[in-house]
Amino acid sequence: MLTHYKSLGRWPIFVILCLAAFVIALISICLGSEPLAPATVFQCIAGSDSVDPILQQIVVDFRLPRVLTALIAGAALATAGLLMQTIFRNPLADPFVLGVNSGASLGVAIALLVLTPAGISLTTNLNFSGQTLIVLSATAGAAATLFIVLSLFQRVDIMSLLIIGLMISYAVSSLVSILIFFSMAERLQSFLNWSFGDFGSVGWLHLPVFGPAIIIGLVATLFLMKPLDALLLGQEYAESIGTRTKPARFFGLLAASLLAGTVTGFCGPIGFLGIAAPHLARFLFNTSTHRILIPATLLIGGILALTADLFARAPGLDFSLPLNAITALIGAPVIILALIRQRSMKHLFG
Amino acid sequence: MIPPTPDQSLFSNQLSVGYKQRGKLRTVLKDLELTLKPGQFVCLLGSNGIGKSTLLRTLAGIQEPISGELNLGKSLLKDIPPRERAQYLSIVFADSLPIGRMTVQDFVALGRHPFSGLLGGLNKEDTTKIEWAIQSVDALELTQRQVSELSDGERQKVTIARALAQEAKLMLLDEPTAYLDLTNRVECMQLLRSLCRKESIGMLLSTHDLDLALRFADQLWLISPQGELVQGYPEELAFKGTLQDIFESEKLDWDHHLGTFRSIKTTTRLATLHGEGPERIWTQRALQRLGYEITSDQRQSQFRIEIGKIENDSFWHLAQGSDQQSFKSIEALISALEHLDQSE
Repeated sequence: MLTHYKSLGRWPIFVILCLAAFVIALISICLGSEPLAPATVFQCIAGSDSVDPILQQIVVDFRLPRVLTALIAGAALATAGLLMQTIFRNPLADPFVLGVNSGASLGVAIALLVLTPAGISLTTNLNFSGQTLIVLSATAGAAATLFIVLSLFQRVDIMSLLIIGLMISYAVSSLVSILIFFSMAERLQSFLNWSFGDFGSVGWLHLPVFGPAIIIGLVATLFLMKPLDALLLGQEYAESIGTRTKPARFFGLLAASLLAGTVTGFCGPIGFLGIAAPHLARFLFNTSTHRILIPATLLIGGILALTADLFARAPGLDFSLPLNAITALIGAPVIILALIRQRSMKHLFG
Repeated sequence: MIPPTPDQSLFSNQLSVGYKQRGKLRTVLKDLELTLKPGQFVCLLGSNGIGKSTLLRTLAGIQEPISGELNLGKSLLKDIPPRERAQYLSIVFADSLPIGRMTVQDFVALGRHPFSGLLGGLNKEDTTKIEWAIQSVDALELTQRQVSELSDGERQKVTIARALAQEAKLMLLDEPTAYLDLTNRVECMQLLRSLCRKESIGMLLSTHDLDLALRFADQLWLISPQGELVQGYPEELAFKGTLQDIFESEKLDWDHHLGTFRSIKTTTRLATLHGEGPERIWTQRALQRLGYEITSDQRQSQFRIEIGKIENDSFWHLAQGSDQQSFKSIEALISALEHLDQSE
């Protein structure tokens, strides 16, 4: 008798992951320049009158959106990474293989280093108009690069597309380098700040755009679950079981780009989460079936992003660290450990 | 024979297959008139690079024909939407394995894609079919194993199970036995043959194993070195000499008595052999390996071998002129003959 997909055996891991996400989110809200007790946090969120309005503002206007952004962005990047790895059948693919992040960088570099609009002081806290400018220019840059890569989709095979994406990435990155070379130091600092990545830049004002864009990408991914499983077999086999591989891949790339592009636009280029989370999910759940892998990757991505953000903010210290550095510092050892325990990539992916 | 069901046969009309190489069309096989019916077991034979895979890929609809028509039932193959086509035609090709972690059950479940809904949820019928497919290839004990951890033989079985789960009446297999050892090869062919009969599935499989093909196939499709495809009943092709014409070369010689090819030694010597049963067949093969032909003409032969039996033990009696020797095994006989060769 067939056991029913061992689904029961997987529920405990899902429950533990959900709990972990909740606990880390709570810790993240509690810790900061002003440490708070969990009870106070709940009171603030519930809108109780007995709490200090300043504390309430800190929790509701700063820490809560930050945590939500980290969760959503982590989930989005991880899912985008999973899509790319499956579509390219390559364990090293990440959300940015098609050049989304370098395109966004170029957009921001042009906005900050070339246009240098007057009246926006970017070295200090970004005000609303500056932030919006960055989001718009990053999104435009990402979309432009993506348009170029995807317009070649019909003409080349999928592996060539991967290489073309990488090449365009390199080319665009060198344009950014040239812009940096000719820029003033103070402008440069604001560009660098953006390129470090930050979940704190999305406030309640931006969440109504940020959230739905990500949700569209995630829902699209869920609807691609079945063709993604088929694509694990390679193109010919996928077609032999009735999959229309061209549209499946195209919409998969589009969904991944929407997810990665939105996150990059709002939070800056955040590396490593997208490549690490799907591998961790495969390791924990011992499967490549997307019905399980998609929710698992999403959760793990959220948790990784929350953890990285918590460390990057370095609560209790006077400074904060570049988020990008922390994601790699947390992510890399985790992947290495997973690989050592599995002994070879073959068992994780190949 | 199972009567043909016209809506489920694959047949071609003036079909030419080939591929594009640097913008140029290269035709490999042309003017093919082929039919594959449910319940038929066809083996496709031909040397490497002659176009077996190109033909299979074209018949599977992976590759466009260069010219001519290819029909599945009443419609042109290329006009049938992929999902529907998958319900009629399944493939077992090389490097067909999923990347990543996947249990045999999940792998075989992929074969239900042509039937499941948008999100790929499986209903009761699907799970029943998956279990049936795994059971049909006798792999129930592998159900929860990871595909990446299976042996070559086990992997081939579950790949066939995945194709079976599609419930297609036609199955195309590209060298399914290529990486298997002899035992697994024979078992695999037996399995395919019995599935072909029991489930009335039309199977077309390419192979290099002429021996097995002759033993199992209802029909052979042979591709000659000149690129012509010859179809026929295996035994007929053998005794009419078609097999000989196509596969014989300077190094291989067709043996009409044994129904196999054997390697040619440059010098042929003659011997007479008396005896019966399996001992005779295998003694003859050993002698042929050494370069001896069997003759019935006493005067031409260099020596005479007689196989005898005392109770259950066979013995071999070798007579050369007045010298006479007896041996208890073929090996002893052959090494004595080799010794004679060297002393000459």
